[in-house]
Amino acid sequence: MSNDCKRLEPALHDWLEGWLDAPARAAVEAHLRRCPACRAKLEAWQAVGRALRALPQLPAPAARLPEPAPEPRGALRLALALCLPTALLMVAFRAPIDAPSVDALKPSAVVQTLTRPFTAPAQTLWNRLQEVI
Amino acid sequence: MPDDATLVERCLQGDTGAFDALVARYRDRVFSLAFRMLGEASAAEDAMQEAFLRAYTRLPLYDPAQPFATWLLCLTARVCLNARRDRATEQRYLEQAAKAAPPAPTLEERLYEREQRRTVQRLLMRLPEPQRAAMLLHYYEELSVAEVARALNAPEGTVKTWLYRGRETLRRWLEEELG
Repeated sequence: MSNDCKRLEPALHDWLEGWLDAPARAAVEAHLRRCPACRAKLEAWQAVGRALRALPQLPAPAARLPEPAPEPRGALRLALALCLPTALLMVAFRAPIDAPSVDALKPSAVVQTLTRPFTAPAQTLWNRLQEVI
Repeated sequence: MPDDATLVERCLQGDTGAFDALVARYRDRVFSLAFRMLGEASAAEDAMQEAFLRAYTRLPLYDPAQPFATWLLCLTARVCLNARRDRATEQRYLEQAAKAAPPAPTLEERLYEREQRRTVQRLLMRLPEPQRAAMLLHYYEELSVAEVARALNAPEGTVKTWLYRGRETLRRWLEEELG
């Protein structure tokens, strides 16, 4: 491969891609007519392009099943940690206990209860606790 | 079957079934491009999911003047380029490729073709990242240089240089490997 070939190589690729204007195209074609090495390179580049285009389309794997939502373990532990002492205190002071509904035991309900302003019975409990202390 | 533009329009009006139809239409194509860029099926699957997720969330930004397929594939290429930053993926692929046993000498022609494709894929993975992305988008997905430039956020002249260097490097490696 001559120095001319080396210098022309990028233009040769541009010619193959059809990116050259008319004068540059003519210059490359004139070189190609007398240079078997560059013609061979051109054919090899075309083969590379064909090899890439021939890569088959692959079937995508089946969609993954959605993962089940993780249990709110931390929230559950927090709710139990807050509920149990309260329940024990209520038993200790013989406060009347109404059986709570299942919904009332949900962590979100417990959190709502805890963030609600003090109500009268809770205030009473607080007063009784202060007496004990 | 409605065309892409209709499905996009329906999706923008809140019809999620329309997006499912787009996913069904393009999932193999998106997966294939991701696999060619990343060289590993599980990484390609992750990239495919990420690409569709991004497509869904960015659908209001999609310009209908551009074909939906081009937009989606450009988006996929960008997802893959980001994924490639995790170099461990490449390392895993290279290790697997090195360990891969040669095919058994039966059904010779088919195996020969398959081996050739594996060689091309393996050599593709050795190309620098932007060259590989440009090569795949231009030759494999047949996007124009302007579209590749937009996808890779690079000047068209740079993309042309990547294509030239990528093709020449692949040619040299293939000739070394195949004799």
